[in-house]
Amino acid sequence: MIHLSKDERVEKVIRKHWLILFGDSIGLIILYIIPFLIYWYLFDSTITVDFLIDKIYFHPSPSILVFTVSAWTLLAWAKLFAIWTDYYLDMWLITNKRIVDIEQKGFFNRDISTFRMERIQDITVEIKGVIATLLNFGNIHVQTAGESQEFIIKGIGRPKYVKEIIMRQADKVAK
Amino acid sequence: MPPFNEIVLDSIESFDFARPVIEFISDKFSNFGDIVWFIFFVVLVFFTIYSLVLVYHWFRYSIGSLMVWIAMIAYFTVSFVLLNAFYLSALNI
Repeated sequence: MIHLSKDERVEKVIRKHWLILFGDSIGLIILYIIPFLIYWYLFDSTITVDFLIDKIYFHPSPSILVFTVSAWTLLAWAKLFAIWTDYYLDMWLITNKRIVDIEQKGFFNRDISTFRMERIQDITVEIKGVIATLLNFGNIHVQTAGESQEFIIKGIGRPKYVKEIIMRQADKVAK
Repeated sequence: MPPFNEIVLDSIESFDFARPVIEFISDKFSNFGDIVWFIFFVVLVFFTIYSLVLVYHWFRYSIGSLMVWIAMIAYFTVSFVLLNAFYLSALNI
């Protein structure tokens, strides 16, 4: 949990664009589907059944299929939610005093960086590519005065709007 | 072109070590029910631990409880259905 100071309030919570989540999930979805495709298109089940009965004396049943499919789906489902959790817990908090960069790197591994508003010097919005332009997502480069001079907010939706929010808060702090 | 599994099975049987391996498996398959339940409990334990870790992270680190509860309901509803199918199929094997 992030502890806010007495007169600090969260102006905006930013997460990555949903397309980032889709991109992270697509590998798992393909991996999940591959065994089914192999079974349906490349397997002659009669040959497999004959082999199991003649060589291993095992009589397959529909329950075996349900058992295997449900186990595979259960594991894939759990992994899918792990990907979603990683996506959901990555966030940037824009408060009236600072920007908090929270990066969840898998389980039990979390990086939290804080950048004070008065140290922000310059903000650049970067939207690259056809898909990013059409779906309006991109990166924000924030130049700060300090040890780490630039931090990047990557893959967020409506980056120009987010930039305006940061600029507004930075201007308020500067006054 | 012959089916993929025919190619695989013919390749397996062409190796010298295949016969003792197949005989070993056929001995173990005489007690197939134990193997099924072993797999069942391994998957169940793995899933339980994984779910506990996920729930811990949701409650510990998320901001706003509504999305957490929606995620939990969706996750455990589907998981419940899958676990039921998994368990019932194990019973019927």
